Amino acid sequence: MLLVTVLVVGVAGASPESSFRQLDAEAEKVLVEALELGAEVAGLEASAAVSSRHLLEVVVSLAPDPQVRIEAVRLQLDGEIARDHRYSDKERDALKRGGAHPLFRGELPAGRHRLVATLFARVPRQADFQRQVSLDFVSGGGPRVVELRLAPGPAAENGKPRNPPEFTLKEWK
Amino acid sequence: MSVLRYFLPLSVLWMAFALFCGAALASVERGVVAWDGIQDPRLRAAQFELLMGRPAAAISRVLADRARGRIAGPPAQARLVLAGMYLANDAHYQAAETFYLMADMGQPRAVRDLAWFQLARAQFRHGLPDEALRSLAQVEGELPPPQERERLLLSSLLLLQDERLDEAAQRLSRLQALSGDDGPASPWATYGRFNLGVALFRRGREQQGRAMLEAVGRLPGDSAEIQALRDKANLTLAFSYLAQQQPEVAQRYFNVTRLHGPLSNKALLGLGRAHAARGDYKKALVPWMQLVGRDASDPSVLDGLLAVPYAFGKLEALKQSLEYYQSALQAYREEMQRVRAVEAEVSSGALVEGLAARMAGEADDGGHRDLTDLSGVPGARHLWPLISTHEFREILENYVRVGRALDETARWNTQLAANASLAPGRRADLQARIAALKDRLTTTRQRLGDHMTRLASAELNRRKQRLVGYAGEARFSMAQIYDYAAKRWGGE
Repeated sequence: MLLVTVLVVGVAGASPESSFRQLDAEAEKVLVEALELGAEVAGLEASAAVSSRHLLEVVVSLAPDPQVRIEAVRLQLDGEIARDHRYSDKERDALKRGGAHPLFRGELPAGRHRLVATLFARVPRQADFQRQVSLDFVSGGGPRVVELRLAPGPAAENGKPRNPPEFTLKEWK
Repeated sequence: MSVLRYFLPLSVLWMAFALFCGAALASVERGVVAWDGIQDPRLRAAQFELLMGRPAAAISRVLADRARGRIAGPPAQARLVLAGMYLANDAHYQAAETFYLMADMGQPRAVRDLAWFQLARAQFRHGLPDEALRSLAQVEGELPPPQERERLLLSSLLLLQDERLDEAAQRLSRLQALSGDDGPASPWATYGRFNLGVALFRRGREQQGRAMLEAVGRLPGDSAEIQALRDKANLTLAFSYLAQQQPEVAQRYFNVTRLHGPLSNKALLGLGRAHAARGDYKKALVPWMQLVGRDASDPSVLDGLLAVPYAFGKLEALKQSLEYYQSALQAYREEMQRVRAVEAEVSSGALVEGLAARMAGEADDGGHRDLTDLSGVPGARHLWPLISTHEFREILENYVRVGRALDETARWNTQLAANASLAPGRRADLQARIAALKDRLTTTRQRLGDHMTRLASAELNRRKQRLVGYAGEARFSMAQIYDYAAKRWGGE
């Protein structure tokens, strides 16, 4: 009797590797085409829904600081709360790694507006750190991006505790 | 060494690499690169989507903003960010094209290195070892510790496959030095040394290979990875000594292999063979009897079903021998029925659809999911080794993604119909493009499904052939026993 004993640790693909590669490349190509066409269609819909002349986008970003933990951001437009966002750990991590959180995107009627953003964070010796920034602007002149940024405060003098973080607003046009 | 001939094809390397690095790989998302100094806030907003695990949404955002000319800053940054997103979405060809065009990427070395490493990982997964090595060669410095270990291991495995053993050994020494903090038995370095030992064997440098495997087989440590690697090393040595007609030495290595765990069936079979090679069939029966009570879908158990009656025959216990041959035949018949049932599931498309549904169920928008629980998927138990190969997994992921894209095309048509502000000519043009894309997606999905079905059918055919062979051997041996009995105790 023949005892066949082969130490098999896996099963090699039955088809030639080249056939797999060809199919893999073909799938990537058609999927990229789908992404591009999808973006085009989504863009049309967004254009139809929102006039780019009156578009306002607000993003939140931060410069990593191990001593500061962003908790939430509240956005008010003309006195009304437009967004009230509490950050998850995953979102905090995405912010630390350079992502900017898209907080708000919408169309505003032509004319004067007031934007007020309030930041809630935890910093050393201050569990309920809050800062507010505001912007008065006129809608209708084209799409507008407002970036709300949390960054470490300036270095303190020798021996003194570090300055609290800064919450700033930057307008991109 | 025939014992070693199944080591190191890329598909197997990937499976072993992925299983081994499981936890470490899970901690580093697929190909996500956090670029430095990206100016435009919209690009950074898209990057946020990516970092949240939504690469397709991120790509869509950048493409849409770019089409409207809304991205500020150097155009190269948008190209780079987009390439990184394509990479995270597994579109590695698209990413590679941009990376190679933008030599320094305008990024700090550390970020650049990480990007090349992520590209190499994707290329390795997609069965492109040469391209993966080329991308790894672009890495200029050391990566952060977890990725550096993975890089050294990945490059050593690729070099081993390319038969560049000395370069692989060099990488493994660095891996060993880097893993010093893990103690003497770093799983990363041990895994590399095991593979190097096997590769040295394959190249005829048996003494060196054996020394390396012996060192791995003696390593202290109770972690699951180290125990598994110790078993692998000892089993490899045991079978090599058995093949060289040195059963006493082989037995020593079989004895130190654990008799539970994933390699235990092979160990039981081999231990019995070592006893049998020395003519001690009574002792051989002990592990073999233990083996035949196990799941018959394992090839070692199928071997064991023939080994038991063979040993009884050698002991002149012909009645028991015949009985066990009969049991073996019955077991082969039952296993053949199970394989045919799986074959029917494969032919009907139930396997592919079941796997795709399982993968799509919990996948992120890039289609990634670890298929660890396949209970309830028709035929998956028999085909698990195949399903674990990089080829099958990548084809399946593509199948799921293409299916999603097909669903999307239906949604786009609805959106276009509802968009009243769209000019009729533009609408007609988009509808025609969607229809053409849908056709291509449908064809591609069909081809991907067919490819998986072909792979599964080929594997099942191999199983059937093996079962037919086993059954033939059992019948032949039974006929020999009848013949012997007739001659010895016949009526004349």
